Amino acid sequence: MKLRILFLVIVLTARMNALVGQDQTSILGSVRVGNGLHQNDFIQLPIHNQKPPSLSYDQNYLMFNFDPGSQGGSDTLFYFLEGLDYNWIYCVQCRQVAYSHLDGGDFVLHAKFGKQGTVVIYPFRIEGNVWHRWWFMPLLLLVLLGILGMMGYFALLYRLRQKIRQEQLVHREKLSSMVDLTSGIAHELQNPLNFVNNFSELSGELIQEAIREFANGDALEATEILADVAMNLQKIHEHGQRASGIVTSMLEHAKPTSGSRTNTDINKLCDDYFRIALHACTENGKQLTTPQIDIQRIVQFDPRVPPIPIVPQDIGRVLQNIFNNACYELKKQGQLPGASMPFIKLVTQKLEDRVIIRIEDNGRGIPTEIKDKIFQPFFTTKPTGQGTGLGLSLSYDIVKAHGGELKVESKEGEGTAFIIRLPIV
Amino acid sequence: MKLIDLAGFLVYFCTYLVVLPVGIGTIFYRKLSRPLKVLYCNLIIVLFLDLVLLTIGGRLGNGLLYLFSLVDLMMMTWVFTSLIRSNSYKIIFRGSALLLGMYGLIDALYFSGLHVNGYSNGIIKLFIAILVMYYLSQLLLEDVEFRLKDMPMFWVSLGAILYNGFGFFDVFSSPIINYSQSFYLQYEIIWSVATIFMYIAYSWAFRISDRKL
Repeated sequence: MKLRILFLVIVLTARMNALVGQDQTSILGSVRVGNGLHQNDFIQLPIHNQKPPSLSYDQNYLMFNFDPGSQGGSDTLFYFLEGLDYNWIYCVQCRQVAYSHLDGGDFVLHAKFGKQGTVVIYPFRIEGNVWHRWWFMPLLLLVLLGILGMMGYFALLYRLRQKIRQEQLVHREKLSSMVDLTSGIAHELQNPLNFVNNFSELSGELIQEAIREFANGDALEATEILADVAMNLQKIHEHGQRASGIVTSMLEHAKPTSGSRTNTDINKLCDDYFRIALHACTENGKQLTTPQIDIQRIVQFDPRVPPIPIVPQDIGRVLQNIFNNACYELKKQGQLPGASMPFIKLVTQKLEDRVIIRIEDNGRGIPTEIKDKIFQPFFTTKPTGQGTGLGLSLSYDIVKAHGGELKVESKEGEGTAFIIRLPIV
Repeated sequence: MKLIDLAGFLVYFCTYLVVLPVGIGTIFYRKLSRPLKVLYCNLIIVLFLDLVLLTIGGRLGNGLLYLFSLVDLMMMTWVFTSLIRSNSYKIIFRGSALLLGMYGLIDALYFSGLHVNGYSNGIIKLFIAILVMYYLSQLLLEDVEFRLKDMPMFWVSLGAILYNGFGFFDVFSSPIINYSQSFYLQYEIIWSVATIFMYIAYSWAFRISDRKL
């Protein structure tokens, strides 16, 4: 037992000697350290210290000079820096080894001449860099928080911007639909006013003729003429009433949206907007210098459709959007050679608990790949500046808000149908 | 490919990539707005300095680059403050730029020296990044009628924020360069990528400057 303890003490002593240098450093001539930038800044390190030298982070360029001395039997230097190298490195007839840009940490240089030579060990430490300072981690955290905060701030600004932008586009969409509406109303009023003008002018001429007949003593002829004048006045009154009706109806539709629902005659609402949209379509056709086309108007109203509680201005906007899109599409199709006679068909139908409004056209249809996107905000197939891409998206939202559904059926080359289902509450 | 090769390649690549925005800027010069023209002049100077550095190199070149960072500060301040609508902020930013310029000069002449990337350089870059961030906030909130991707100054701002944001870490370049070669190389790679992004963003800004908003 005593022998075993004695052996252990001998081994430990030998290892301790090896760790702190002593005799084994005999082949290590010198160790110089610097930062690699300026040759003059290199300083010599003691090689027989009991304690491994501790170097600052910027003293990380080390040069080891060797002298074979007593191990002069071999010319091959084997070395290996523990903490950096994984294997022994060897070089023939070299006396110097350099390590540069070493990271902070504990290192031990092992070196020997020849495979069987005694290993020399030189431990040293390089102090860590700024991140070993107490203030570095809090500072880094602060910088990271700053970057994250900045990203969050800009993400928030971007969302706010999108919201403002969307509001502006909705406003623009409303203005654009107002332009269409105004143009349609103007056209709708033009017809009765033409009648009023023509019949009043004719009546004026007839009265002059009646006066002449009275003067000639032909009372019978004068009476017949006055009967015609009376008929004309009746027509003037009828057309005046029609114009007045249009204005009243439009004023009702144009009332600012209060959000409150009123029982509305769906058939009348659809008819009004259909007429206006068709007129607006023709007017725009002239302005856009696209070939003017006649669009056939087909209506099938179900008389059983009851008044239902809706916001008429909102549902009117939905109808206007769908009619406008159909018109736009038919005008585009009209420019194609061999296009069939375009039509828009409006059908209303009462089901058990809901009303169906179906608006159908025989345009080119919606391509399958974009069918799922047409209700997405800002999606448009119209050229830049001609569409905001919000029409159908807003329509979808409006119908949803009424507890209804807005669906599309379309076949490429055959046409498109938009179906609005509104509940009868 | 070793890290040092990659870093070396990227540093050279990003340095001479300045020819891209300069080339595109030359083609679309007539369409450029005044701030973009100033930015274009700035890039011309950078290209000229890069060519001078290629010829003379060394410490004198570094000194020239250092002095250019002050010119860059003034030009970038003019570019962005000319677009800032608030007069008080305009005055604050221009005044700060002047003070920083003086600080940079003093730092270069008396403290850090002309041949190294001094602390003032990092501070100047941080200042430019803050200025551009302020402008970007204005652009996001006030110029809402245009699409961001169609606005040249949006791309210029993105590039400038990224480059100067990373450039701020030049403050730590001195300890890093002596500490760890691999870490320093990684920093150089990130900096090069930021620079490449900046030049691409500037080029795109010049390219779309003919778009009617």
